[in-house]
Amino acid sequence: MNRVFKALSDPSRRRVLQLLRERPMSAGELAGHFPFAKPTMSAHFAVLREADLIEADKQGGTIIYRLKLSVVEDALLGFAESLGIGAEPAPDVRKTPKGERP
Amino acid sequence: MTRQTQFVLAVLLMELLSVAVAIPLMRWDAVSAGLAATSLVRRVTLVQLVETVWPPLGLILVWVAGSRRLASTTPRLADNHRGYTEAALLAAGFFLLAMQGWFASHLGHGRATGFEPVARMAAIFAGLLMATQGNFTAKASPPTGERAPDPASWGRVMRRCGWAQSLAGLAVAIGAVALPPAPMAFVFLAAWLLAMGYLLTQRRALHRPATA
Repeated sequence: MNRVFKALSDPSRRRVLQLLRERPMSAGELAGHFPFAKPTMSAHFAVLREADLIEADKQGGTIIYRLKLSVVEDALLGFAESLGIGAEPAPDVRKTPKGERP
Repeated sequence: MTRQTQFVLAVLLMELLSVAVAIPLMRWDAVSAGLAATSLVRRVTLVQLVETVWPPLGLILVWVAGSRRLASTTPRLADNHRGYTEAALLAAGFFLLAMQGWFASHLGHGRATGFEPVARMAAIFAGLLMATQGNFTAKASPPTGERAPDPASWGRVMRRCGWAQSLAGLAVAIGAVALPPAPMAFVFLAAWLLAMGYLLTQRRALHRPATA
């Protein structure tokens, strides 16, 4: 359970889970929503995978991530979101105007 | 189903069957009196003496249903989903064992068990099992193999079903502890209808191929 709390304590990782709630996405697609470098994103994915909150499926050269939340974990994610635990989330770079990438 | 699970279920079933036969034999005087009697009280005693027969029948029923679900290869359930299903079967088996033990300890000493405590005990267990199973149902990976469903829609359906199952289970367990018999029956009916609804939804999701 410690791993789950650790994974959910970071707003960026929670944002990854929110994005995966819509549909399974590739690592590249997910990374496109964040201003981080690839190694940072990989580290976030690793923490989420270690906590068993997402699962990866390799399709050819692409890794597809899928949500894997139990009801309790889903509720904890909701609580963490509503309480705003952790720092401010990273801005969604897709919504940032061109040339103003942070 | 793994051999280990089958072995544990077989041992549980043997134990349940032994007790189901032993209790009426131990209380043969009451059984024969009940068979010969015309009074309602003695007939009721006779009915109570066969209460120990229901748990092994229940185990056979859940074992057959679980085996059918796990045996299907079109599509094949994911390993974690199989694990959750087997754990639920074992939990049901151990609960039936405890329930039969309770019946046996009363009937062996010639005491009546009473319907309400039995119904409440069964409902508390069923509710907690439903809630726990629902919690893990939401986490079940998509099935694989021939006629496997679309993983995205499978995930959505299982998350919704998991929530519904968990909340219904909690409502049943809390209702069994806190409510008087009449409203408790309504809670059970509502939970049963909800359970039928999500079982049908899960079944549809399982048999909806990705490339329909």
